[in-house]
Amino acid sequence: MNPAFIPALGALVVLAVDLAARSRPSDEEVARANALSGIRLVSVAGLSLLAGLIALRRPDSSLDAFSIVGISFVMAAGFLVLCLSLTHFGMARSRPAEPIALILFSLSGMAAAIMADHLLGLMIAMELAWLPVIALISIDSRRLSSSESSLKAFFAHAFASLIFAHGVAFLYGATGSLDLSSLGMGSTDRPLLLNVGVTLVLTGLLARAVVAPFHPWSPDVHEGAPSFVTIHIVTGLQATTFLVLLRVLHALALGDASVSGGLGEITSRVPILLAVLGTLGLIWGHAMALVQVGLRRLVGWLGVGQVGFFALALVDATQEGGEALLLALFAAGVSAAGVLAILSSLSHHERACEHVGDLSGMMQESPIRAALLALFFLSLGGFPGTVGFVARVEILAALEHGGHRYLLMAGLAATVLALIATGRPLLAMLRRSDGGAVSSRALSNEQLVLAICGVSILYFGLAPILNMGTVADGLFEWIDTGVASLRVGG
Amino acid sequence: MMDFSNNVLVLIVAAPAGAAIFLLVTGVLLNFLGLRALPEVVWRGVGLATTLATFVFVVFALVLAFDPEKIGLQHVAAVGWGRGVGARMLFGVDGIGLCFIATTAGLVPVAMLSSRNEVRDSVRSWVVTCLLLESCLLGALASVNFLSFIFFWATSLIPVLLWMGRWGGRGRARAAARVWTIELIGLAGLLFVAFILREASLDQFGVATFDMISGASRDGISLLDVEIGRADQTMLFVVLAIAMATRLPLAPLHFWLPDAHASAPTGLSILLTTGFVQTAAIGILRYALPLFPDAAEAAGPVLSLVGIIALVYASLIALVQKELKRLVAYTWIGYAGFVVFGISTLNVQGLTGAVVQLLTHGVATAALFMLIGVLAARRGTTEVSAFGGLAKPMPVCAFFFAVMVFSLIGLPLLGGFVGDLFVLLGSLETRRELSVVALMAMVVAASYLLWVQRRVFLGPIDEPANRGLIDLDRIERGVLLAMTIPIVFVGVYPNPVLRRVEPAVLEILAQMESRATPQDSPESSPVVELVDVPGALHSARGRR
Repeated sequence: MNPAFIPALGALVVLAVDLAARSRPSDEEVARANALSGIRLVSVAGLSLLAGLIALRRPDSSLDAFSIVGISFVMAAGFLVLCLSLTHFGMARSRPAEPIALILFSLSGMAAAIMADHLLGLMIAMELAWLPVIALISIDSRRLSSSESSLKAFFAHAFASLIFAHGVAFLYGATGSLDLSSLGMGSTDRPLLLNVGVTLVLTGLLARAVVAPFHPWSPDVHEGAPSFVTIHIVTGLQATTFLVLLRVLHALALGDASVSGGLGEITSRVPILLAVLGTLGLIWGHAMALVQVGLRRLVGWLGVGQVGFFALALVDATQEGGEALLLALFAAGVSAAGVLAILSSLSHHERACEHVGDLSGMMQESPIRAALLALFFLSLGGFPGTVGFVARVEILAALEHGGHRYLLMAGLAATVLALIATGRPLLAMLRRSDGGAVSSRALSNEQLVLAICGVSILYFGLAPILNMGTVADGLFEWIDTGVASLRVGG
Repeated sequence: MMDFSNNVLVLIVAAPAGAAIFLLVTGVLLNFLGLRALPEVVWRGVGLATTLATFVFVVFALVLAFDPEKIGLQHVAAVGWGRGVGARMLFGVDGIGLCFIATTAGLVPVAMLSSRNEVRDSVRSWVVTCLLLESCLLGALASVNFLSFIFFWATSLIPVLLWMGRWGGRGRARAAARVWTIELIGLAGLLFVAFILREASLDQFGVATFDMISGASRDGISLLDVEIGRADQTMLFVVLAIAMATRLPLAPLHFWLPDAHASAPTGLSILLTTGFVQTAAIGILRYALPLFPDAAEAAGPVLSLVGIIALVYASLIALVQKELKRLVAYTWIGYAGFVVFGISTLNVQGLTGAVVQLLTHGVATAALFMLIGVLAARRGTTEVSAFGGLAKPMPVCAFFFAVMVFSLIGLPLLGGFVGDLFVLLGSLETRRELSVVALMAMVVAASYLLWVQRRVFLGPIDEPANRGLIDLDRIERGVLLAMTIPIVFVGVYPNPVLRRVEPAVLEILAQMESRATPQDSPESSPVVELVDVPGALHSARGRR
């Protein structure tokens, strides 16, 4: 079976299990019942992801190495999301079956999008990935911000879909084909249609990827959506969109610039578009992060800046840039997941942890979580010794190698802004506590997520300079092979 | 060929961090097993014992084993892996690094001891912070790979931020935010230089390297083999110099230092004026000068002027300070300008003087911060006006304060004199006019330091609260004695230090000479003509 369908099948199983085991607990028992049911259903969902991963590794799999890398990444991130969703269900915010099924459907869509080499298939897969997430954003219906941000995300998604669909139509009109592989080779006697089509397809993807100026809804979603949904968006949806962008750019880059009216002409302008939008995003996002009071919005704006970095990694769509992008997606995913997991853990157990000032005294009360939060923020900002730094170095090295010195300088300036912004929560944690808060431990599922994120950030951050690169070497080589397969496949 | 056979430097750098990790893991394990946590006194003890053991190891395995006759880096050791970026840890030590490492390793236990009364809560976190800071500082001082230097440079910032932000005094949040911001700007500058150097290395040799030693890697390439055009050199030198100036700190990038010292605990102040600053000096001496010799030569007069302006400016500002810590901080800013002035001469005497200044003035300033910490603990304030006549109740404190002040103003037979003399001798060769201004600024500095000495310790006791102040206890006396001994030793018998520093300086100048673009007129270069480093070393010793 195609690995992309396995999570969807898992979703159906989850719904069936929930239907079979549904009981009517009293109000007092709702939380407990939800928690138990969540554990059971998350286990089923986890098994389906595991089956998907095993299917990916089968030797007779027809998938290219890039798809295997990408799908493995989003499915592994899916584990973290499912794991963290247990906290939400434990707090009786909602029944677990539907959200878990939605996550699995969304993962199916992501996997299908990553492996798609047909534009129509890609469009459908992206819809399947996005629509469940829009529903998930509004899952906490008691909070107005949750519904509001869901609506914003819906409009953003609709806009991106509209643009993308028009682009696909124009491309079909120009070339008569929707195959990505054949698209790059073709030339046309309708260059205007082709140019407009490529521009719209790329714009649609950039809008989905939250590249500035298509980003305004993103900080709102960070603020309004439950943490596990936000992590799903950051580690899954954004990553998928960038992987798709990388595949599309590689397909387009095969066009011959010397053929008048061919794809080469339009694709030669794409790097300029990506450079401008990327720089805009990374400066805008990081600068806005400096003035944020809300912690989730701070993470959201840092995310906008990160996306700017991702766009810069695509400027030349080279092997180096592609590898840097994949590493950066991994780094941003674990860092943001770590931050949001801690915020979720604190908010649920002991304090309203919504503003930077709410972190006061955290180092005194919860030193381990404070240290981890500092680590995650530093990685998000790109501080040396963390995987966030390694990823930024790879992107900036690719830019310098491509002769884009001004982009390198912009990247460094943005990194300084990001680290200054992340310094605020760090300093807030160092403040002495007023003694009002009660300290508690993170739940086991949260501890697991935090441990995975913390170890990943430190290990992959230190591996390049310490002699402990066995696993890191393996990961980097795997990524290299994946990106290289795009060129071979194209 | 380099000798990679011993890992002394790896051990020295890793020991404190290893102890910190051991303590953390033990704590987590005990917590996990539901056992009682180790008492704070055990954490303090293990931390202090580790720093002392590190210092003893530095003395026996590094200082005593160092061969001053040998040219080049010693105890070279490599750790790590490249993955195309060229990142790895490469350690090595020359005479300059040796002196800096010994000073820093010696002062960390001093810093811990001097903070023992200031740190009352979260002691476990504090011990880990101290140990990590020591590893980071020693790592930066021992690194001979530019990227590993940047790594340690950056990571040293985290313990500094923690120490200041968590255990600092009033205004610590603002001070920590300032340090964080300015240091990040410096870090961005360092990274920019690293990216350009990497690209140049890739262009010319097809491999990315950040090593500062040829032959240390499989392909035998180092940054010293990479040719950099004049225009790029100028840009990179300026960026690197600004990055180092943020930490040294050189006016006008000094604004974070007075606030930082005013709110930092005593232990941190001690390390800020020694190990922290020395990493910036190493950055200039080990990387900026050898890698960008043409730019350094061209920028020499400007650097001299900036150094002197910083010295004069800081001396004048110090005159109007009412608070002891800020006053000493401005003193340090002034001396940082003098150090830059010494470096800008680009000759043996000037560079040697700058290094000796960093050593002796660093220790003397650190001792002053410690004494101010003692006064603050006894009296509850550091306002100059709150003191007077303290020599009567605190004679030992007054004695040590006087020794440190005398060293700072350059009194003969104390360490400060040697540094001042060498810098002035160097400047007389190449910056004669500015050396007169430097002398005048030093007189101003001497006047306000002596005024403070008189105002705080001499005269009648005006404030009744000052009558019953208790003098230094045994530990404080011991620590201050340990800091006084090297100052007096260098002042009376500077040869052992100079024998180790001068060959390193000569090698820096030789590297500059070999990488400099040939000039039409040989007289235009202020860099000494060094064809044969051992010969020049011999003649330098003969002159002395």
